[in-house]
Order: sequence, then C-alpha cells, then structure tokens
Amino acid sequence: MAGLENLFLWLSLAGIVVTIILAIMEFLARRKAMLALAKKEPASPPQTAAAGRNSLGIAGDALTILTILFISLTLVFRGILAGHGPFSDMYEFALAFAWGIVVMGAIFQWRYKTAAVKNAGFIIALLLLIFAIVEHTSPPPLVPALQQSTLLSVHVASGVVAYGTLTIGFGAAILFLIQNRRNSLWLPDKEVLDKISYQAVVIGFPFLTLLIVLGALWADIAWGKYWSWDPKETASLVTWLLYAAYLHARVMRGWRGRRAAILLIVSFAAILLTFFGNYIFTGLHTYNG
Amino acid sequence: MNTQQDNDIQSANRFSRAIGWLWHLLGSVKLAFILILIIAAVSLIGAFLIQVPLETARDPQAYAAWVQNVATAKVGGSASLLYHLQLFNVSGSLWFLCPGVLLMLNILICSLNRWNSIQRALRGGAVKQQDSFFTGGSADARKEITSVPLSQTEAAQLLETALRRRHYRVRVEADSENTYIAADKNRYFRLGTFVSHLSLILFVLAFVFGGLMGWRNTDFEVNEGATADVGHDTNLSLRLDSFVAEYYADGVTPKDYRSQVTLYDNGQEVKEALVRVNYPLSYQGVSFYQSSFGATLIIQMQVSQIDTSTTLYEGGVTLKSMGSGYYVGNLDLPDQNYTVYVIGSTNAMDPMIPAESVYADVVGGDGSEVYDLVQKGIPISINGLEFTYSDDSTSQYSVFQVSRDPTNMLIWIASGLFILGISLFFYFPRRQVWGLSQRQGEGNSRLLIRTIAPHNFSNTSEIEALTKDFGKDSPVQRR
Ligand code: HEM
Repeated sequence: MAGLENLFLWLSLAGIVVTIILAIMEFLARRKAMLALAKKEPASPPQTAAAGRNSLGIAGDALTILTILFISLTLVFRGILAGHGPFSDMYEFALAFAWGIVVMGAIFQWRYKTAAVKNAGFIIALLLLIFAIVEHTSPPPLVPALQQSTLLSVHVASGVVAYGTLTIGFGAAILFLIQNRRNSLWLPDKEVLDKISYQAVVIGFPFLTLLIVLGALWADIAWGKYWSWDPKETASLVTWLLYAAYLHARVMRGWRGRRAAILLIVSFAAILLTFFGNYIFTGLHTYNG
Repeated sequence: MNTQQDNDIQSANRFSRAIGWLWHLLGSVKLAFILILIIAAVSLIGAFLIQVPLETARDPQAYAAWVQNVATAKVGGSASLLYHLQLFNVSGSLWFLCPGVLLMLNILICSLNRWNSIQRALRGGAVKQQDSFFTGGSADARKEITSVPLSQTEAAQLLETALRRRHYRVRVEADSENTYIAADKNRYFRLGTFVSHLSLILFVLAFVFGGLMGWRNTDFEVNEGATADVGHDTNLSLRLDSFVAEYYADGVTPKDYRSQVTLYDNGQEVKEALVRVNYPLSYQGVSFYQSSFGATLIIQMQVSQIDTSTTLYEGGVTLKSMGSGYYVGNLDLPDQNYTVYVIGSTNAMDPMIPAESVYADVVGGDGSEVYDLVQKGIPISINGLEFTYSDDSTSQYSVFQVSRDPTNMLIWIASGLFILGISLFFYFPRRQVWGLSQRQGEGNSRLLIRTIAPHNFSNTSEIEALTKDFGKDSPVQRR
C-alpha cells in the first residue's frame, strides 16, 4: 500500500505539473494566433478566449481528469494504509486540500466554460502537493482524541469542499485584478471572473461554516469544550468573518469588482493562516495539536 | 405660548429624526460590514498574541502573576501595556465585546426591517405588470418572442407548462387582449437568511448564558479505588473503579486510556460507565470527560534534623507522575528553612533511580542545595537532614473535566439552523418570472418574458432554459 501511495503521489505531482505546462503552451499558442490574426486583419473583431478550444486545451482537460484520478488513488491507498480518512497529519490535509482544489476547478471549468480559473487553482494545488511530499511520513499512531473517525472524516470532507471552492474563488479574484488592468483577450471577461469568485464563496461559505461547527462539535465530545480560543480556532473564526464580510460587501453598492476581489484575496490569506497555523503559531504559543 | 408649542414640536421632530437616523444606522449592512471586519481584526490579534487561560483571567491576582511570569517572558517589557489594553484576553476585551454587542443589535434591527420585504417575497409580486416592465431591466433578464402562431391564451399555457416543468408556482390573470403570468420558485427559502441571522443571536445568547449559568472543573482528579465529590451545585460523587492506559509500540504515544467509574447521587449509585476520550459520561446535564491520567507513588518517610535530632516529618509523601517517566512531589516541612523535592522513576530499570529508591533534593534556607539517592531501609543524611524510607505503594489516578453547560444543545441547534438557512438561500435561490402574452391579430401573439434573480446570481441560464423548454412544445419563431 505504501508503495502504491507513493507511486500515485508522484503521478499526481506529474499530472499537475504537465497540466500547468499545457495551459501555458495553450495560452502562448492562442496569443500567437491572435496576434497573427490582428496583423493580417487589423479591423476584424477580436476573438475571445472562450471561442474554440485547440488540441492543447483538450489534452489539458484529459490531464485534469487523470490528475483527479491520481490524487484520489493516493488518498485511497493512504486511507487503506492508515485505516481511516485523511485527518491525522499535515501531509494528509494537504493532499485532501489539493484534491478539493482540482475537483472544484474542474467543476467550475465545466460550469463556466473557462479553464483559466482552474489553472490558477492548479498552481496552489501544486504548491500544496510539494508541501505534502516534503511532509510525507508513514501514518502516525492516532492519539485517543483522534479516534473519532466518522466525525473527523466529515469534518475534513467539508474542509475539502470549502477550501477547494474558496481557492477557486481566490484564483478568480487574482485573474480579475489582472483583467481589470489589461483586459487580455486570452483570459475570461472580468464580469465572468467577478461572478465566478462570488459563486465560489456562495458554494464554499456554508461548508466553511460546517467545517468550523464540526470542529467545535469534535472538541466538545473529546475535551468537553466546544470553543477554547486556541490560535487555530481563532484563525478559523477570522477566516469565517472575512468571508461573511465579503458576502455583505456584495450586497452593498460599489463593492463588486476590484474592492471585492481584494477582500477575497485577504480572506484566502486567512485560510492559509488557519491551515498552516500549526507552524505559524507554535513560536508564539504553547500549541498542541 | 405659541412659540413654546412650536419649540416642543420642533424638538420632538428633531428627537424622532435622531431616532430614525440611529435606527437606520443600526440596521444598515454597511455597519454590519464594518463591525464584522473590526471583530475579525481584533480576533486576529488574539490568534497571534499569547492569551491568558480563561480560568486565570477570572482571578485578578492569578492574572497579574501570569502577566509577570508568563507574558513577560514572551513579549518582554510591553507586557504591562498589552495587559492594560486587554490584549492578553481579547475575547473578553471591550475591543471584542463592544462591536459584538453592536453587531447583535445590528442583526436584530436589520432583521426587523427586512421582515416586510420578506413577506412581500412570500406573497410574490403583482401578476399584472406594465409593458415597460418587460422591456426594462438588463438584456439578459428579458426575452421577447414575436409572432407565436397561437392565440395569446394558448401561448400563455405553453409558458405555464414550461414553468411548471421547472417547478415554478404559477399565477395567471387575463383580459381580452392579454394573459399575464407571474411565477416564482423557492420563495420560502428567502426566509433562509432571516433564519440564519436570527440563529446567530440565538448562538451568542446560548454562548453567553452557557458561560454564566454553567460551571467547569478542568482538573477533577480521582484515585483508583477512591471516591471524590463533584461539588458545585450537585450532590454527585464519582468513584474510579479501575483505570487502564495502553500505549503504542513506541511506548510514549497513548493509544487508549479509560476509566471504569461509578456515579453516586446523594450517595445512591446511579450510573456505571466506561469513560474514554471521545466517550464522555453524562448525567442530568453534568458531563465527565476523560482528560488525562497519572500514577501516584506514596513513600513512607521519616525526616529528622541532624543537629537537633528532632523529627520534622513522619508519614506518606505523595509523588505524582503525568506521563513524564518520573514521579515528582515535594515535602512540606514545618520548618520553613527547608524545601525538599522528591523524585522517583516509573521505570523499575531506570539506571539513575533504581527500584525502591528516590532522589531527595534538599534546598536549605541559606540557598545551599544538595541531593542524593535515598534507598529503602538505609538512612541517609542530606544537607543536614536525615531521611529514612520505610515503605511504598503505588496507585493510578484519572483526571476528568467535569462541566455543566445548560445551553450546550442550543449551540448545536443554532449552528444547524444557521447552516440550513444559508444553504437553502444559496443553493436554491428564489427565482421570479413574469410573462405577458399579447394578442396580435387572429391566431397570433407576442410573448414577453422577464426574470429577476437574487443579487449576484445570473439570469441568463434560467431564461435560456425556459425559452428552450418553451420551444420544445411549439413551432415558434424567435427573434
Ligand atoms: C456575523 C454576523 C453575520 C453573518 C455571519 C451573516 C451572514 C450572512 C450571510 C451568509 C448572508 C447571505 C449572503 C448573501 O445574501 O449574499 C447574509 C446576507 C445578508 N445579511 Fe448578514 N450576516 C451577519 C450580520 C448581518 C447584519 C448585522 C446585518 C444587518 C445589517 C446583515 C444583513 C444582511 C443582509 C441585508 C443580507 C442580504 C440578504 C438578502 O439578500 O436577502 N447581516 N448574511
């Protein structure tokens, strides 16, 4: 099992890397074609990025599906080896997080007919996978508090959906800011990006809430206290509040577009702070867990 | 007289205008946005800066000592300033509580203000709409199908069928020239945000009252075979019948630890249970959680002062181990001049502290410190004291967290309602569609469609799907 897990871990990495390379190649090819077209017929209306996919794009889609398969199998073999869901160490979290990004990226690509946001998410997934490989150890023994497989698996699963979608929202916000300045023809329309980023939060926020509530429920069962203001809990509250603020900003006048995108980027930084909290807060606190 | 009245009216006006302004401010989303960001920023400080344990924060003296010893070691000289700014206890600070209270008020007023619009949403808008309504709005929210080769009633029926297939509720009104349709779906889910916002208030109330009405003992220790009173407002006592700890092969990581206990209420046995981590025992709102455990070593010891040959102590010395591999305890001698620490090993093969022996570390009043091994049955003098170790016994103890949190259930209900409310609101957005089918000569009509989607949701897909559905059953021309 450990051998298979390792094999698929590296295949996942390769899948992500090649998908990103294909995306870059597709981008360059499209840019070249459009520049050539513009030279030949300067007056003709410019094609948009959504129009037509070339063979590189199709290969990228196939590889995306393959990557989902690879990460899924890594998680499955890890699960068989450990005997439970991916909730016992940072390696497992990072792997599950990457899975969420890749799957949600594919779903958003299918729904909005643009691969750009998924590709942005893939870069985050790549960093997470590299982190996972660095942190990779054999499954650690479970201390009694962690022997609560059902609850913790659901907890991590909602985290996967929440973080996955919110990463896509972050990718859309970054691309929005780029589009806001340059309005490239090879990226989706900025209105589309704005919409994607909002939809990502709409899908992700209930799961983010569920993630925190299940964490609290677990703490209540294991330690008799659902909330103890430890730094990681507090960071998760900050994250939740920032996304709630974002949702309200969208109801207010003048808060679409640039300002909303910046708020979304700050909110995503809070996710990273929560996720890597174990490392960040140890220096400051006696943090255990 | 007259001016007096005028003044009264004027000031009454001013007063009601001020109230109106305040009400408007307290009900605004902008205030909510700002308050949420403030609370987030304050919480962020709490994540980064070391925080005082809540139990310590309640006791001013303990808190001061904590600032002196723990906080100063972390943050140095600024500890005192940070203490006065309440930043070591962010969740209990005015920085957190003031915006928190305001936010709750904000939610309440905002919800009250929104009640009318929600009721209107539940009723649905008027069926008959002006023609201009159908030509207004953004281009992706409307559709015009001219020259439908059907009478206006038949065309309206087709639209109605298409709407019903998409699970809309449809209302129809007609006159001789026009058939009006108003349709909506998921209107009840508009209540979602209403429920979510109010459940936040419920949550906060449950959180606050749980803290006020409940109690918590984080360190309820019971020796194996012994019974301990729970105290607080209960007549409960808990007996630890037996305790087991298992370790993984590494010998350090605990695999499982469990306490077999019997619970007594007023001396009557009411419950027997196995308490483990994740498997608490609950009885009448009081819960016992397995928290930690340890072992006790009791050494029968006699200590006398060598120069005066007086006996300073005779009896049991209790040493405790909490998983560190060593038993530790200290001996309170009536003579304030000595502090004695006693250390034993939990491991009988320990090369430093063999079985049936302990280290005694004697700190004299002059600051001198001498330690030596005390072996069973062999008197030894250390730093002016003579120790005789006569007998020992070991036992296990288990530590529980005991708490009563009367609002605990409400916390989960409120959380569940919040998630349910926003999920329904987000995943089943309310959609509204209006249709107008107009007669255009014999057997011909014109169909106008207009949709309204919630904030930030798209109209396009819905109106496209609808017109596609409409076309399915009829040979219509579209423009
Ligand atoms: C921590 C506190 C709060 C949380 C977690 C929260 C949560 C939410 C959520 C998840 C939504 C749905 C977002 C959307 O419609 O796009 C929402 C909407 C909304 N919230 Fe809040 N809210 C909070 C406080 C407030 C307050 C204090 C107000 C009062 C001004 C408020 C007013 C609104 C309004 C007007 C909407 C739009 C609802 C609609 O379109 O029907 N919220 N809130």
